[in-house]
Amino acid sequence: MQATDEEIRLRKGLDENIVREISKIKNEPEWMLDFRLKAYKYFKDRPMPAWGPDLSGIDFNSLSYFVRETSKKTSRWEDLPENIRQIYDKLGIPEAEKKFLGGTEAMFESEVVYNRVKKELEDLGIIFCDTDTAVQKYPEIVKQYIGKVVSPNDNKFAALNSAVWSGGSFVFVPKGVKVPMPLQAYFRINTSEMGQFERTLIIAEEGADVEYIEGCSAVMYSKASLHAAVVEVIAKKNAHVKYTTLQNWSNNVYNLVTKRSFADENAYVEWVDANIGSKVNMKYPSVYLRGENARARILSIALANSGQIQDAGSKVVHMAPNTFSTITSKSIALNGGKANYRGLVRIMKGAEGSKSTVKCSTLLLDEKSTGDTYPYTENNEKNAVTTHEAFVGKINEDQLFYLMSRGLNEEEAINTIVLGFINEMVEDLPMEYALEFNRLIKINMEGAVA
Amino acid sequence: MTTENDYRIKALEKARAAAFEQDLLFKYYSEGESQLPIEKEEKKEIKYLRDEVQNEIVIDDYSVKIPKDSNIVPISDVFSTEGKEVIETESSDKIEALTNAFFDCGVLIKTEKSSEMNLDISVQKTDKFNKSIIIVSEGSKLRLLKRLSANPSEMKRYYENFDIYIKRDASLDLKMISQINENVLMNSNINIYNEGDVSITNIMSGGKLARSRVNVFLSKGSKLTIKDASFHSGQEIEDKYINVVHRDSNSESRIDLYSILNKNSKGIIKGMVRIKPNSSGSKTELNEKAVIIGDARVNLIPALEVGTNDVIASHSDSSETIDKDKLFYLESKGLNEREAKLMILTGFVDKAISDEEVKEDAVKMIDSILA
Repeated sequence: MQATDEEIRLRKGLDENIVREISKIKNEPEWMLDFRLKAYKYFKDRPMPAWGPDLSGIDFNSLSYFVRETSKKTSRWEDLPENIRQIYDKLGIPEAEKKFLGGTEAMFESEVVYNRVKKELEDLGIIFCDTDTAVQKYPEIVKQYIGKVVSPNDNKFAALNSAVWSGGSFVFVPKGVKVPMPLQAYFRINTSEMGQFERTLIIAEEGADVEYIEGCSAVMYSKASLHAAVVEVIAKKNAHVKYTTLQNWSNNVYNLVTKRSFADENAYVEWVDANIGSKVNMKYPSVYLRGENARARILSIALANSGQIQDAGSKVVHMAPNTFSTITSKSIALNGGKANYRGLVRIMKGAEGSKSTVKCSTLLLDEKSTGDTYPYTENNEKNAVTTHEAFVGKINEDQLFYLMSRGLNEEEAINTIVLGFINEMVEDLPMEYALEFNRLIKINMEGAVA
Repeated sequence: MTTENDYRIKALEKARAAAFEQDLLFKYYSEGESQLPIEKEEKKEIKYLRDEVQNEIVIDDYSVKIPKDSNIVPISDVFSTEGKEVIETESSDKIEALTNAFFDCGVLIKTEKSSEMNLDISVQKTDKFNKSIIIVSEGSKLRLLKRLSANPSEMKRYYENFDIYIKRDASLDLKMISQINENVLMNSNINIYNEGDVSITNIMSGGKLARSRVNVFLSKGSKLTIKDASFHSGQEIEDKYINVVHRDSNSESRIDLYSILNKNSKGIIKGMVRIKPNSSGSKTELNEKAVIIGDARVNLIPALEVGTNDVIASHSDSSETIDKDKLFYLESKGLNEREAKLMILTGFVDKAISDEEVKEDAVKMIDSILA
């Protein structure tokens, strides 16, 4: 049953029948149903994580696991919370785009752009579609790779995603192809509903090069309280994958995402991960350096405002000789927010000549805000070097004094220092994102001085 | 008032109920649960041990150079002396609680107010559960050098609890040199009152399993310095956890942990500095450094929990091996390989062993793990 134009909302709660129902609605092949059912069993068996932020507010029985709304949206722009509408106005986002981001209206203007991009990519043999379509059109590739990087039994939320996933991006870049522009989920999103359990799979064949950007700088308003995505990235020999995320969910969302990548010989994987929204965010992009000379770079930015817990970080496993990793984490906490870094670097026996560098900094803007740092380093190879350093503290008073002596008021001075603090992130973003990101940080900083 | 019996029974109940590793942060980074006969230990009855304590003058196990006018008594007297004021410390660890239930050896040391005391302690006979309490009274200074040569023969494990109280304006300069084999399980609780000052130099070598837990609580304006170096080889495992809690404003801590690991040894070095919300003006620096040689492995976890913004908090860790260029250079100047390695490794831990009283022992320890 292919029900693209019908509105479908499965009953709340999760059981095996719901999993079967989701698979049936999507008209999936048998192997995908099996994949989901196995994962559902793992989900049931696995306990909730006992570490990290409190997740007791999640009620699995109160969630809808599959919702497909009609192309004619029933919810209204007026129904969006006032604060989110104000942020859209301040970001200067066009009216149509605002409505799309608010989840109230498809952005028809971008359809044209999307189709043009799609043609250009197809000519190069690049597949870029939603993962549901990929299961139908490219089942062999999906079957080969899905669940191979993030096993359905990896953790409770990866199991949940594997059981009920819907949507997400599928990217396949053939051998030696360099994708000419950053692929943006933004282009694709209008044609399929962004789910709360999206599954993204990126495969860069030998020598391929691709940059992928997801999320948006405006608040993604979600009525659902849980977002549990899984992202799997495979960078084969000599390939390069850069994956950029701007996470700005509304502050009622538990964002519990598993992101992982494999880097084969001489491959290079970059995760650029900015977390601004959500109520509780637990996200640790990871790279398994499986081939000699593979490299990883992870840049993680988190901003925790009032009532938010940003538990971000990263994980790198050095499995082969001469592998390199760099992790940079910058966190800002204000108005009683909590910004944590939690990371792991593991050097396996035999990963000779490997090097890992980790740098974390946390700025606490007021006395109510807190920041914890939990770095784990495991070195099992004598001919490998690991280093880690971290700093937690407040804004440097000398810097503040200097800027204020130049005529900036306190708020402007703090903004300038904070933007300088996260400059590395901004430099990494395409121009249009960078501008919005800067504005977004400023919006979040409003009232920080008081 | 807690009686001795109540105290021991309460401690044993706690030991029986507690998980081996209580801190979930380190659940996967904990050694000993499978190596130690904890279950057997837990089944022991208090009564049996009480008799044993009463029949033994346990200060004999300690060789203490007692200065004039000092106040040093066997730990068995703790419930009839001023020690009873402080002995009600809540145990935070299973092994610590077990030692509190069964201790049958150790000393209670208390300095006089505004006095200065110098003490050398040497512990050798070690088939015991040791518990010692040190109270450094207001305005006084204590320099304490403790040597431990633990060679447990029958029990195959050595238990030791140290409870230390540094009163207002008091200071403690504690140096510990431990050369051990078999399993050694040490717990320390250090309470530093307002404006107290503690400096600890700890060097340790050996131990089939060397498990140590150190908890330090800092009050207003107090100061802590820890310099710690450990040296392991063979199949030895070191599991070290240092937990520092800044409980009030303007407290300072600096912790440097060094490890040299050779052959198949394994080190798990865990540091945690917690700065509580009312501790504005506090400073902390936590550094963990390891050199691994041969097939040795190391886990380094320097954690920070910062509860307020008016602080300076930093931490770092690094792991590496002996630099080949340095080795080549020294060998080209005529040193043999072992001498060259010894020189490089001594340089590596130089900051931790700069104190003349520990340096010689430290160099010997490094040399012995290179064998």
